[in-house]
Amino acid sequence: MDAVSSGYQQEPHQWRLRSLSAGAKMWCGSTSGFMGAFLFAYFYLLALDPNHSWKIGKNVNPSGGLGVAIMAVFVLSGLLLWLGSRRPADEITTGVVAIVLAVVGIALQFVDYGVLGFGPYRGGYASVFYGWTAVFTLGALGGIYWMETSVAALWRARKNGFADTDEELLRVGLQSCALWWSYYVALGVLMYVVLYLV
Amino acid sequence: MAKRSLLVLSVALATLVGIAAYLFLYLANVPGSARAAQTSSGVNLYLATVPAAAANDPHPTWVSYYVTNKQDTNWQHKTTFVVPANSLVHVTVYQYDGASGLRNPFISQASGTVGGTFTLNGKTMNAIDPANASHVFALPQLGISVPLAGVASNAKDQCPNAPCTLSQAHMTITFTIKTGAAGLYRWQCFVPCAAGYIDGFGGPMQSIGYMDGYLKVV
Amino acid sequence: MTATANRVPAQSPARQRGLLGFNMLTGIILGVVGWWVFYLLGGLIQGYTNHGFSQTGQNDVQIMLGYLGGVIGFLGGLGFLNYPIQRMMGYPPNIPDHEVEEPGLGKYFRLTTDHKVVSQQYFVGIAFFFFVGGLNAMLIRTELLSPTTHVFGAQQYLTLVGVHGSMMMGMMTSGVLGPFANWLVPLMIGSRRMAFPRMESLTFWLLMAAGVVLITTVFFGGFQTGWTGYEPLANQGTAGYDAYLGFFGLVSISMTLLGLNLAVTIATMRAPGMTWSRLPIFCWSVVATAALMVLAAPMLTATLLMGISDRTLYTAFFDPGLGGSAYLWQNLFWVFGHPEVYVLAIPGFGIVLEILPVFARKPLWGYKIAVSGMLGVAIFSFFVWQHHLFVSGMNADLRPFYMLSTEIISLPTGFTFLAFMATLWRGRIRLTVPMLFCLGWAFNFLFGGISGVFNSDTPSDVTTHGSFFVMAHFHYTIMGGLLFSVMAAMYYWGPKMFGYKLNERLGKIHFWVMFLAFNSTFGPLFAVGFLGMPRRVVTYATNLTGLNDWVSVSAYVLGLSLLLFLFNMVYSWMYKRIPAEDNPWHSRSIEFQLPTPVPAQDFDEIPVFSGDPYPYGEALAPAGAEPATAGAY
Repeated sequence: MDAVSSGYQQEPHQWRLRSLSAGAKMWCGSTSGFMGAFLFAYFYLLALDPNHSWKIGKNVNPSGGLGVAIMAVFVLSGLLLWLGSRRPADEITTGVVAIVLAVVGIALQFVDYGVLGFGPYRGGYASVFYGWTAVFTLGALGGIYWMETSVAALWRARKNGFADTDEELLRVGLQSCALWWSYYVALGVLMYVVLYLV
Repeated sequence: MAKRSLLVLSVALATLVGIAAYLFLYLANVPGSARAAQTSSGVNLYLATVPAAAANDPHPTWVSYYVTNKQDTNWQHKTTFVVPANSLVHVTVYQYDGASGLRNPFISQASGTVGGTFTLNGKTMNAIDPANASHVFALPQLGISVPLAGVASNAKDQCPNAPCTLSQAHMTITFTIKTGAAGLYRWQCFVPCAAGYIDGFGGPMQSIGYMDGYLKVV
Repeated sequence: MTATANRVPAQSPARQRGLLGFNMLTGIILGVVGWWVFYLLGGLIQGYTNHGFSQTGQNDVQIMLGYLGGVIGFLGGLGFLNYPIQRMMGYPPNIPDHEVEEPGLGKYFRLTTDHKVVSQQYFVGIAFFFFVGGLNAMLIRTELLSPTTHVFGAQQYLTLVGVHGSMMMGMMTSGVLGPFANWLVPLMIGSRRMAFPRMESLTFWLLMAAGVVLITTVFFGGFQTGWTGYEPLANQGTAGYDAYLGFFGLVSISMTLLGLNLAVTIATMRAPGMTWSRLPIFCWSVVATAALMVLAAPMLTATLLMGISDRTLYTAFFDPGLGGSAYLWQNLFWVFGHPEVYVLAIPGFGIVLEILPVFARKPLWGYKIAVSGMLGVAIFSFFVWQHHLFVSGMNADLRPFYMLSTEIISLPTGFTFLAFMATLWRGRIRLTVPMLFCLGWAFNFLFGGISGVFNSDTPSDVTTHGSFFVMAHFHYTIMGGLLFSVMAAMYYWGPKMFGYKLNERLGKIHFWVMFLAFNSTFGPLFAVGFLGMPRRVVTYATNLTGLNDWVSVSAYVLGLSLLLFLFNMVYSWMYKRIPAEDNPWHSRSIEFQLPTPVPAQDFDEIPVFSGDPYPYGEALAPAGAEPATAGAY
């Protein structure tokens, strides 16, 4: 807060830090609920198999190789951000690489859509596959935004020698982002296991 | 004070205008009704079914019923038919649509009409081939159901959308029903004829003014 | 605590306001522009992808994109897009966490970070949409004056029912948390602000956008599914159903963010001494509700995305012919939907239990029992959803579990009732208007709870399912619970929030008319339901005409009682304008120790708490956190 009266007391600094951290954890909970709906849809439709249309026609199988590649890129991104956020010296470099890897993951997902050979109307599996991967990709875009803003804020602050900047707040911001992003990637791993291996 | 009163009055006026617009532009904007013609030979109701409504209709691609006349020249987009109570009503349907086929073959049979029959192009029948069904005119509350056979897919000069003329490919279906006490009875089509919608049951099949309406017995 | 709360000198206004004047007007203008740009864009995309469009004439891609563009434009016009763009460039936030004292009405029409202004925005916004939903209820009852259709067509009737239900169940999820929790929580825990003030504002404007989206359904033919949006009717529906999807989509996002913000605020920003065991009971109800919002609302978001993708991208989540299932919607909807019912109910518990000790002049009995009751309800609410599907043909072996889990939820609910009754016991009760509404709440909610047993019990649910009995039950719990508690809160905190007294006599008349009309409206509907009248059908058996007419007339009186409240507000706050006292109820709660109106910065110093939150009737309160006016009343 920039302008305060003489009698006005600042709020405890810890509040801001804890808010970011707690917010990220709760956001993980929300993300679980969101992804849980697709997990439920997968097993519900698989078990019910309405009209015997879980997979309509042949070749309703995505490329395993691409799936593994997408998963690997996202996992690497999550790991790098997690580790980097705990090493101030490397946080910008690892953050940028994590962002680039996430972008590559999204690009690979689009490549995957291009070579799939089946449309979303080809049964319950196809619907869940398209729906789940699409919202995961959309969420990853949100994750990229969060990573980018966290890294950009640190980069600008570092450039200015952290003058007039709450360094600790920026660090906790990046760590909170890394917490959620790693969790999100873990949910992605679960998604890929279900979609490709179950 | 005057400023506040002006504000209160303006908000109240805007609210009333909003309510009036909601009521009259949307809620009371229901398809109109048409009275069956009373002639010396009895009460006659002339209907037409088309593969698509008129080009200027809000839903020009939707399959629909219309009210017409004996010469099939006065087309009105109304699906509430007003008929007298305790009377015989002679219904004629000019059917211009192709066949969609029935999922439940049972309703390819006629029921509830006088004699349990209908005529298809002048021939008396009590059922059609389920695969040839285009629409059904059914009044569940009165136990009435009449299947309407579709125009052959290779017929010449098929009518693309309303209004159609008798010179175009069509089927003529007639039947007679006996009305009972006064009341409002829902009629609807049971053939899944709403092309493009899931299972053929969306859009016109669930919209009054298309494949749905009322028989208002007065 | 020290509650001197001098006004803080004005800060310079936020930069984006000075430069571009972002406000609701620019939001609406850019919203309309956004709609058309995305709508036209959708038309181009549709031409390449939608093979069904030529047959149905229904361009769902175009409409959904139009809504998206409209919402983006609206938020952009309000200034919400400046912030993320600046953040991407690494600049600090350009909208302050703390709002400045600002004269005039302009602050109510734009992005603001003053939690009290946001709560007032919520109050007016939600009241508007409540009015729309209530108007629809009046029109529904008008149509039901006769057993046949006589005013509106069947489709219009079903749209009335759908818009009424969606508006009430969607918008009113924030009916307590929006206006009251946003205002009260930072004050009660001594934090001055919410954890994420910009997010707080976003939740409000998202909700307003949602309400407008729902109303636009009338331009696309309405929807016939009611508020539950059941498949397959929904997917077969016309473009009006797109508005339903857009509406609940925005509501679910707003709910998630609102819940998260409140939960984080309470978890991390409690002032020194405000331990969990001293947390006011209202804040506990917010914690329980926020937990439901954070976990359950995202499931609705996901479910709606499935519905949207079925209609635009040709997935088949809910199309049985292509491997989907209508029951998937039913399940996912109620996994969210049943917790959502408690999102509406639990804040009512909190309000009532917060107000009760003040007017019973007794400490809240069984504080921990009440807390565990509210948390218990929240937890159990995730394990009962299948009772909505008892007659769906579900596996019969599942029924006993869901019957039992549903019936068990009456235990934690009973805890709060126990706390309610025991607090009243031997209290020095003052029958003020807020207290009357609290008592009305208890009466109504009791009937709602007892009738719920019939719905949770599988054998009796087979008879009552889908009937007006169910309708009467949930109106007793939701309207009798939520609305009466909101009214209690309005009479209790309203003068503090808005700075002027409400007329007491009018308030009492309002209560009695509303209470009697409410019971006269919904009581007979139990009988109507038992006699076999189904929900969501425009016609009914002629032998039920008398009961239905009685209900309709009672509903009009109920509507009039709410107009009476509106009149009271306009009369008291716009014409009489008698300044409210700082602590008219002799409350010990911290918000009443602050001056009225509460300054923009709330407190000059972060308060320190050191005592029980409800020290009524005690000889001397603990020193330290006690306000100067504290004492035994």
